Amino acid sequence: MLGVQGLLQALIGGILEGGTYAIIALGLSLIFGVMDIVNLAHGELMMIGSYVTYWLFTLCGIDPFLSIPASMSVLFLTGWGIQKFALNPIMDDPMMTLLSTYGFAILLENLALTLWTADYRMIATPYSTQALEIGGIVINLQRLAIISIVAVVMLGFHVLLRKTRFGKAMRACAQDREAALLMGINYKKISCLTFALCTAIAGIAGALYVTTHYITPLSGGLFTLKAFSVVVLGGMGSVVGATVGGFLLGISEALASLYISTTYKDMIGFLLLLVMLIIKPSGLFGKKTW
Amino acid sequence: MRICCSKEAVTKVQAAIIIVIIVAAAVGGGLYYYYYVQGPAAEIVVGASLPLTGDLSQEGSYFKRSYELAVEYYNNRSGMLGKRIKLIIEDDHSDPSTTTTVYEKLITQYGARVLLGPVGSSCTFSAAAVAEKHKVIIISSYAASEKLYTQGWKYHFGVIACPLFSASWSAPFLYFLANFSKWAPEGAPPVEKIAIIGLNNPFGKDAVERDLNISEQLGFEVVLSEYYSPDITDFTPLLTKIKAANPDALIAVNYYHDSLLLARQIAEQRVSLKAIWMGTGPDMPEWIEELGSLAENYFGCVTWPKTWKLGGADEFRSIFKKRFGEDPTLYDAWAFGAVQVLVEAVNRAGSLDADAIRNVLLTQEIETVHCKAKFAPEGYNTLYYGTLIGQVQNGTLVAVWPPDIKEADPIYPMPPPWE
Repeated sequence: MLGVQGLLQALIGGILEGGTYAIIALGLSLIFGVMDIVNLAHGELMMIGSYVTYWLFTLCGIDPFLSIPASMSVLFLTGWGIQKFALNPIMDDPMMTLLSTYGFAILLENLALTLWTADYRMIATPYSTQALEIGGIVINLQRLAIISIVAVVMLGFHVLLRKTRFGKAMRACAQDREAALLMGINYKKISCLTFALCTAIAGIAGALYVTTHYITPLSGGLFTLKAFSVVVLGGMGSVVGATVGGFLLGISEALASLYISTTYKDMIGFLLLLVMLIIKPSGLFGKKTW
Repeated sequence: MRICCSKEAVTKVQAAIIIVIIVAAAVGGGLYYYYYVQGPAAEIVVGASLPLTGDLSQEGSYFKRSYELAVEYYNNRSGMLGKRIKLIIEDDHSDPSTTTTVYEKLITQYGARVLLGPVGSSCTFSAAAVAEKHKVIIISSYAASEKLYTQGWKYHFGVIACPLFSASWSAPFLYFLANFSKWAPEGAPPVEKIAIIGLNNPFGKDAVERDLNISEQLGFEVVLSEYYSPDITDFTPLLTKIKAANPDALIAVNYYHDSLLLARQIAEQRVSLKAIWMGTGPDMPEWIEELGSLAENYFGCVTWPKTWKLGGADEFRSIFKKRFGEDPTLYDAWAFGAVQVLVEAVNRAGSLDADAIRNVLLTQEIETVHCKAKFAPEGYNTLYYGTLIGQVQNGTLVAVWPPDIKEADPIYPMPPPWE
């Protein structure tokens, strides 16, 4: 029988997986919230982050958790470049930005195929199977470390948005771009910084993801899809939304697998999405509530 | 009176342009002649669709290199019907609908006269339907779903589809477990309860359904059977269920990528089982390398023991090693074998007529690097012997059953992988 222990184990599993979903979605959500750009290359950028970590681990033997700053930096610069040279000139046309990010998705996917081939990759650290066992419930230490990092990043970003001048400027741009310009905010610079920061978070997400899951150059599409699911649940442009949406998706998938069937796991996730789109299309914590 | 300012009738720039046009026309004409006029007479186009990207890309890459190696091997000899073989491979992303498009294109645009199969039963289903429509022979070597052989198709032949265990690689493992007393160490705890999980696709469903029937016949209690999506990214909830069901052995009918994640999460979640069998994974060196010590003691298939010498197996092993610097995997042998069946059958038929080739495949025995082949009218291989049982021991998959071919004794019960 599954019993309480099974339920608790599934809940913990759902929370740990949900944390990963949340950090995958955060960047996508904020880029849309601040700049009205639907970044279809978000998953691919995250995938590049995973490969940077994978490369540092296999070529230089650097621990995946220590390589997070490297993966962040690479993605920060990539994000800055994409925004400055490709997106800023076409910011006024949402269709153009959508197509441009789609183009980047294809470009990055093919770049990864060339650099790393289509093989499945995963990082096995010496401590990957270490776990805490409390009353028959197993909590993997590496996953616990991941969720702690996710929590710190989420909290840090929330504070950045709420308490700093840069955060205030970002929020001002999100609320009214023209008014922000009139107040002397350099909108293009803020856009570059926002995009770069959000892709840097995708870099963190990628680095964390590859320690517990396999990746391929084609994983990007799956990441983007998951990120969209989370964002629809939680609402675009909200740190709290991405967090709650991530956990909601993680836990509902875990419980669906446990009590219905693993076969229907994805179906339950998308059913939840449909219900949310019908009853509250802006998501739980829709745009401009932050 | 001079109208033009230049002395020459044609300037240097104009002359250069004219030369470029003439050279381009000559090269273009030559190429056109080579490919479209002389080409068809000198070579036979063989088409294949493979998953070079997507879920089965790992298997696809093995198939690609060995299809190419085999074609090169025959081209260096007498080719097909005395002509050069031109192999065209396109990527189907492991997607059945793309597979249909690719094979249509191979036949109608590239003029493929015979075909090699894709990877996986779902894609082969699409491929075989196209081949049937155009009456073109297709030899597949990675498709064992029983449904492929009950459609009444005349032109699809599956080299690794055998009559006894046609859909299930895992069936021999159940028989192995049933013979417990013959291999288990004295006093070892018996296997009574089993859990069976499989991919939610025709390959997985066929195998799991068959396993359920065989388990019942053999008197095992199946405490859990479940399907999961090929895109799965987290096995934790399923492993929670397995833990709660407390089976002695687990059978997983899977592909490479999900078996990697499953083995990893079995260790992460500390799921302790006496024996675990995986359809794909233990038989691939990359799997063992990627998982390191976590791969130890998993059971898997040995379908190609080193003792197999027919069909030029040793020559294949040696040219493969020379070319790629490593030993061929089972998938390489399957791919090479498919080309052998195709070329042999066409050469013996003496023509590219599908019915003539089919006649050879049904009536004559062909030796390949990993098995013998002679087909039933339904398209399965009547001489395929199924799988033998192997186990990962000290970083290598060794045959542990049946006793006459075994390279080592099975390790049982399985020590916890996280220790």
